[in-house]
Formats: sequence, C-alpha cells, structure tokens
Amino acid sequence: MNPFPTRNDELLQAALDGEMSPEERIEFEQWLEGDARARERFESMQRLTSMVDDVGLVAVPPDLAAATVREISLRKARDVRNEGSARGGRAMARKTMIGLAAAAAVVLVTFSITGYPPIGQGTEGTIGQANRYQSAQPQLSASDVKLGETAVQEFLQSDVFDRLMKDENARKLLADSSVRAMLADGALTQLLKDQGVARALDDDAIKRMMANEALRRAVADDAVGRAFADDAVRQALSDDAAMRLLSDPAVQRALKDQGVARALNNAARVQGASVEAAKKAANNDVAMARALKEPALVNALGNDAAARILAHDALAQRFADPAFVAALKDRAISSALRTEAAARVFSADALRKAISADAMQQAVSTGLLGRAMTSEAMSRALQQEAFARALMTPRFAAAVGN
Amino acid sequence: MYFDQSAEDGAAVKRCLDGEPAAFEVLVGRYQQIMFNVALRMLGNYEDARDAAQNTFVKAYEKLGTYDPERRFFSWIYRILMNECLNLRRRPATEQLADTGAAVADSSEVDVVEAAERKRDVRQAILSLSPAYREVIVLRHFAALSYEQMSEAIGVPTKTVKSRLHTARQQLAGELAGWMHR
Repeated sequence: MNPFPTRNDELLQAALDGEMSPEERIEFEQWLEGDARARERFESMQRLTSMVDDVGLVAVPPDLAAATVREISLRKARDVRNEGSARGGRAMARKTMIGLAAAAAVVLVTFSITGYPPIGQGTEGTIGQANRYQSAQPQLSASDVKLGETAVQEFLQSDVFDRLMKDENARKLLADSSVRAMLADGALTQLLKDQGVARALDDDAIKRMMANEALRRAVADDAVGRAFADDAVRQALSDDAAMRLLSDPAVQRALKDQGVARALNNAARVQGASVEAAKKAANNDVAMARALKEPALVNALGNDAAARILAHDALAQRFADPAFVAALKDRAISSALRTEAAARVFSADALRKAISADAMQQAVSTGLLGRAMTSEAMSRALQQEAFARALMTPRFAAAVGN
Repeated sequence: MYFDQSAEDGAAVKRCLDGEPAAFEVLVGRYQQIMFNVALRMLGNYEDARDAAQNTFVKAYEKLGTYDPERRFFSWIYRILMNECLNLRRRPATEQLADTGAAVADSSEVDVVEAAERKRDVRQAILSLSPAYREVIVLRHFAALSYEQMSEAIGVPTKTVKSRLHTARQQLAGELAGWMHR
C-alpha cells in the first residue's frame, strides 16, 4: 500500500530527500512544469526542510569522550572487584556445599554404616571419638574434604546430592553448625567411596526424619544422634507412628540414657521392636531408664526374647515394678522369656502379683523359679495355653502368695 | 557517513574483544557527535543528551560481546541510544547556550536574533512530534541517513520510514507555518 496520499506527495518527498530515481525525477519535473501550485508547495516544503537543517549539529560536550572512557574504566575496575568478590562468594558457596555434602555423607554413614556400638564393646570409644571431633572441630571446614578425591567429586555431581541440596529440610539440617560439628568425621573421604552412602541418601526414612523439625533438633543432640544411628531404628523411622514417637521429647530424653539405648540396640534386632520399645520408654521414662541401667538386666535383655518383651506393651510396663525387674535379673528366667507364650504369661497381672509375692521373690532369689522356668517340662508347659491361662489367674497369684 | 565505516567499526570491536579496550575510544570518537546530537534532538535537553550519549557508550562497551558484526555498528548502538532516550527521565527542554554553537552566518543583528528564534521554534516543533515521527526527522536531518539506512536503524520497512517522514513533515509544516511563509 502506498503510504502517501497521492503519487505526487511521494515524488515531492523523494525530491526533498534526494531519493529519486532518474525516471521519478522526469515524472516529478513534468508535474512541476504543469502545476504552479505544485511548485509553490515544493518550495514551501524546501523551506521547511531547510529550516530543520539549519538547526544543525551542536558541538559535543568537550569532555564527553573522556568522561565516557573514564566511566568505562571505573566500571571495569568495579567489575573486577565484584568478580573477585563473586569468585570468593562462589568459592565460599562451594565450600559450604562441600561442607554440606560432607555432613550429609557423614549423617548417612552414621546411620547406615557405623551403627550403634554393641553392648560392652566400643561404646565408650565411639562416644569419646565423637566428643573429640566435637571439641576439635567445632565447625566443619572445607579442609575436611579433599577435593582431589574422585569419590567426593562424583558425589557432588550426583543426582542424589542435587536432590539433597534442593531439599529445604535437608539443607536446614546440614547447615546447622552443631549438627555439622557433631557429624564431622575425618574419615569422610574414605567413607564417601562407599556406594552405600550414595544409596542411603535416597533413603526415604532419612528424608522423612530430616523433614521433622523435632527430629532434626534431636539429631543435633549427640546422645540422641548416636541412638538414631542404629540401623533398625533407622528402619523404624519409616513408620509413621515411630516418627511421631521419636519426635516426643520424653522419648528423646529416654534415648539419651545409655542403658535404654543399649536395650534398644538389642531390641532393634527384632524388626519394629525398637518402635514399641521407644514407646514404652516414653511411657516409663524414669523407671525404665533406671531399670535398664542394671547390668544384669541389660545382659538379660541382650537377646531376641528380651526384645520381644520390650515390644510387648503390657509387659514393658512391668519395668516400673522392682520385683519384676528383680525376677528378670535371673538369667534362667530371662532365658525362659524367649517365647511369646512366656512373655504373654509374664505380662499378666496375675503373674505380676505372683512375682511380687514374697514366696515368689524367695523362689527367684534361691534360683528355684529360674530352674523351674528353664526346665524342659516348664518350657513345654508354658507352650500350653491352658497352663499359661492357669498361671495368669488370680488363684495362682493367691497360691504363690500363700 | 556513519554507515560507511562498518568494516572499521568491526575491526575496532574485534580489537576491544581481543583485549584492547583502548580501541573502543576510536568508536567513541567516531560516533559521539551523532549520538549526542540525536539524543539532544530527541530529548531537548543538553545534560540529558550528554547523559544518554555517555550511557549509550558505556552500555555498548559492556555489551560488546553481543554485537553481531554482520550488522552495522551504527544501527546497533543507535538502538541502545534510543532505549536510553526512552528510559531517561526527561528534564524540561531548555534553551541551551551550547546549542548556539552552530555557525550562524547572518549579517545583521536582526537576522541573528530572528535566526535564533526560528531555530528555537523548529527545535520546539521537533520536540512536539511523537517519538516515532521525531525519530525519522532527527535521523534524516541530523544524521543524514537515507530511507534505507533509517529503515535498518529503526527496524521498520522503508515505506514506513517514508510514511512517517511525510506525516512528520506535515505536522512540522503546521507548527512552523509562520516561518515557512515569510
């Protein structure tokens, strides 16, 4: 579409601007020759363009070029500083990331590899080691990680690390200096080589734990952290009920008790038992902790049956009863408790009363009850529902009491 | 004239990018007059024009890596200048003493005064145009660009340039009718 109202307008403008082709010039001149108004109009527009041209160019500010060059130099210098600062920032961020990675790895190493020391061996050593790290390395530094280690580099570039770093809760946990201090481990580089670490990072239980603020705080506590290090406890974390339970301050207090922790460590051998045991720890905080400090009892609980006992809600409540604890100290009795049937029997109110009776206490103290409990006959008898029911009756308790 | 130096401009840009920042001074020296004058006619204020021109060069330097050597340097830096002019918060148009720097060849004092008044009115008339129309007037009369060059610099078809120029002049003619018929 022609942008001009008429062909003559187009020719007039082209003439003003010197943009005419030879053919157009001929056409334009023919128009002017035959039209006086066209000539007048052209002259008028020539005056206009002349007036505009007359405005002319203004002299450039004398210092424009110099000021421009100066400004560019200033900005370059500033950029160099900022770049240096940004590089420092990036380096710092990288150090932080490495620190977080290190902490993450150690968390998982702690959870999945180290585990809670078995009863009677290494507990003190591990605690001492942790304390030494805690005092010697109040904060994890980049020097804790050897960048040259291929394993570290690979870990930092892994999807697992990427996902972990995108997880807000994980970042919060790992950014916590106390957590990092606790988890600082000089063996990190070596441990990172373990493929299990990377796999463990994807462990749902760990993620869930990290999402729980109470647990995050708990992990920051050295003692609780060690208790959580137990593999079975970690498995239990996948259980909703366990998550709620372990978030409970009472449970966390109980877990700080070495005796309870040891018991839990054994109880945890039975899958899920640690959950119930922890639940009972919450319910019987002081009593259970006190009871479980008894070396004999701890030894007695060092078996699957004891774990089952702990897992048995009703029976666990008996730990508040000194007489019951005294009975359990008897190795024979505790051995007898290996069966579900026996545990069920012992959880009965009637039997508790029986055990509390002086006669039963005497039987326990003299070993009579223990021998009886460990006898094959008694063992078989306990397997019989009828016998078990009989033991659980008030009449039995009364008989013992008499 | 500005479109004829693209090869030299390209070489200067390359030298800059190759680590010879002093080469940019060549570009500043070459384009400072047209950049400043275009800015002055677009903004109508000496200080604004100065700021716009300086900012344009600084930004051009910072963005030099994005410059496409296939394009004319003037077109590229002109777009930066236009953005600066549009973004710059304009101060009121003022009579600038420096703007009287252009040679005035009138022989009598009366002529000198009249010429100054006429120029002032023309400047005001240009500033009264919308930016799109003002732009084509400025490029045509102060940068001496052809239709095609204006089309490339502005980024619109040549026929649009012609149309805008026609309309712009019609509006100027209306504003400056008194001077045109003296």
